[in-house]
Amino acid sequence: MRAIAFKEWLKLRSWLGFMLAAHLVFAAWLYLSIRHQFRFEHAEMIYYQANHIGRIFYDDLRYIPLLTGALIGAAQFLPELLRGRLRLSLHLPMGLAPLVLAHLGIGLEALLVFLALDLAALAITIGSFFPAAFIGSALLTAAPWILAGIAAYFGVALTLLEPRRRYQAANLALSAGVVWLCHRSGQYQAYDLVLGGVAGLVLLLAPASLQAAHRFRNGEP
Amino acid sequence: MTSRLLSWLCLAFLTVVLAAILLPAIYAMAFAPRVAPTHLFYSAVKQDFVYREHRGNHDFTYATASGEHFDRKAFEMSLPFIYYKNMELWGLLPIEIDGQSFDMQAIRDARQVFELKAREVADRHPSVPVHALLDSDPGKAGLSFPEDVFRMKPDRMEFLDVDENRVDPALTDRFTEALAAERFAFPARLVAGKQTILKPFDEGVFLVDAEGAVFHVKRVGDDPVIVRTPIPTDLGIRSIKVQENRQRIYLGLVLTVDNRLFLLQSDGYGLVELPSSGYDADRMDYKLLLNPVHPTAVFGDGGTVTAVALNEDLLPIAAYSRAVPGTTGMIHARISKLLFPVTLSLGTGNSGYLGWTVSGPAPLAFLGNLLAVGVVLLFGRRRRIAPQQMIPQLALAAIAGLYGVLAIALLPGPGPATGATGG
Repeated sequence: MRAIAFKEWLKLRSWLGFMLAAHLVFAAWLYLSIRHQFRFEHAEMIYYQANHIGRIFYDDLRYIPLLTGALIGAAQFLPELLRGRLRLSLHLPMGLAPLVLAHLGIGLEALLVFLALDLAALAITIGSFFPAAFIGSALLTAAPWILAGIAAYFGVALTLLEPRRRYQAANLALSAGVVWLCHRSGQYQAYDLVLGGVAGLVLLLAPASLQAAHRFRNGEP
Repeated sequence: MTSRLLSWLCLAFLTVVLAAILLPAIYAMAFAPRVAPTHLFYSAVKQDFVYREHRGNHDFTYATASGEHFDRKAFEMSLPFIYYKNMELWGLLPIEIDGQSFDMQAIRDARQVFELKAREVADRHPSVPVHALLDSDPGKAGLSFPEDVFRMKPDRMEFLDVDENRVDPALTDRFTEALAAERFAFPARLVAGKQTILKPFDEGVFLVDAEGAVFHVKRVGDDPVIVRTPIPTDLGIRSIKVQENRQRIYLGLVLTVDNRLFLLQSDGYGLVELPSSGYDADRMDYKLLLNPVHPTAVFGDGGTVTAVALNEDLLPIAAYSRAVPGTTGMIHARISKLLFPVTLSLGTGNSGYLGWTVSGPAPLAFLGNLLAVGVVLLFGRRRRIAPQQMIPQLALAAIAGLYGVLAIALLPGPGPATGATGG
């Protein structure tokens, strides 16, 4: 397992470095954009817009987790498939399910680091300008966006692992559908009552990849 | 269970869930006509309930509860307190009703509308528990937001300077002490106010304390004006909608946990109970039309609408309920029930929160599922696959009907590929 982790690290490190830099730049942008609004508008009007009109001041974050998840998935699985290396890994003396889940676990851990960074940036930014109640609200609002990022990661893995174009298209559509479920509302905290159910659907994408991996290993039509 | 079968089940379940959301929605978008809600009122002219019912495709019915049908203009003429601008244009004002004459100004002066939508109930939409307390006597035309907000802490009413995002201890102490002087029991259960400056004047906020007592809190400059109201502490208040209007007779609506609704009077905070038999605040929108004569309460959801005519003391004198036609009897709806065993949606409906809604299965759906099993068997026969090798697929079709067939068609089969159904 350590060998797999090391292999994945060697493969992903340059991408992870690039993404870390991009997320830090985004965190700075998020802070500056909200500070800019407080400097140019009356603070009481910003409160009114945030609480009663429902304007989401951190909306720039909405698709960042989605892009991050898709990028990590592509960076992790695309080179393996293009160069045929994954087929070698899948014939290692270890069960296919533990092997695939280990790969997914490593990618997911990397993704969760970035998502945690995004949430920390969001909490610090909101906490700098609004009372604590707004931090909780912002994190709850961002929760489905985070789930969309995880769905995008699993979805890219599911799509790329599948050897046949027709089923790749079906897997891509299915993953896009789950991502869509995470972006059904633009209102703040709209997902409060359904987060558990949506998270459950997102997590189902992880074991769903196993069948594609079986088919990939066996070269099934 | 092999990892392969588990994986297939996950994919099939996700496909069925997405199909159950998307296919009925796309089908409805393609074939279902839009049906507007029924408008039901009490007509002081006809002395009867009148309604406008929509059956889709510009098919409107205008009629009274007793069966008299008329056109749109006659419908509007039967409701002069609602369509008074048209009545004025048609030269039909002033109008005499019950021996009283009403011109446009008299109607305007007397008319008030109070409304509580299901999504406006305090616990049915998200809100950040930070509130503005406007200066109710700003000494200038128009209201403005203060440069502070307040939040109810377990032991105090805490004000924060919004420019600095810091607690204002002086204002916090002043309001907390004023509340304590009126025997406010922390923590607060409910904060209700109309947080906007787009209103003719400000009536502050209402706080419900830990014991159920209701306090009216206003701000004049930076000084608190607090009244402990005589509203019974055991009323079980769920929501208060404050609605400042120029008549200054009523302050808004009070909803209780057992779905009783009251008008809150400005004078002495008296409560006037409104008709609420059959009203469910979680599903229904409630509207009170205070007309010069025969005020009317109207409430309903997508299934039924009820109107209650009231006398000048807001006591019921007549009531009428009517089923909303909707689209259920139409041909497209019957086909939909055959095609789609259940319909799933993830939407806000009449709440500020997203929620899962499952409808069905309709009896016809079982026929649809049988057809789905037949389709899978035929498909397997063409590919020379024995039924016992297709048990997961057949079970999926039997349970999920068309959605299951779609999953089987789109996904590789659960076993290793042998040219079998779905891969």
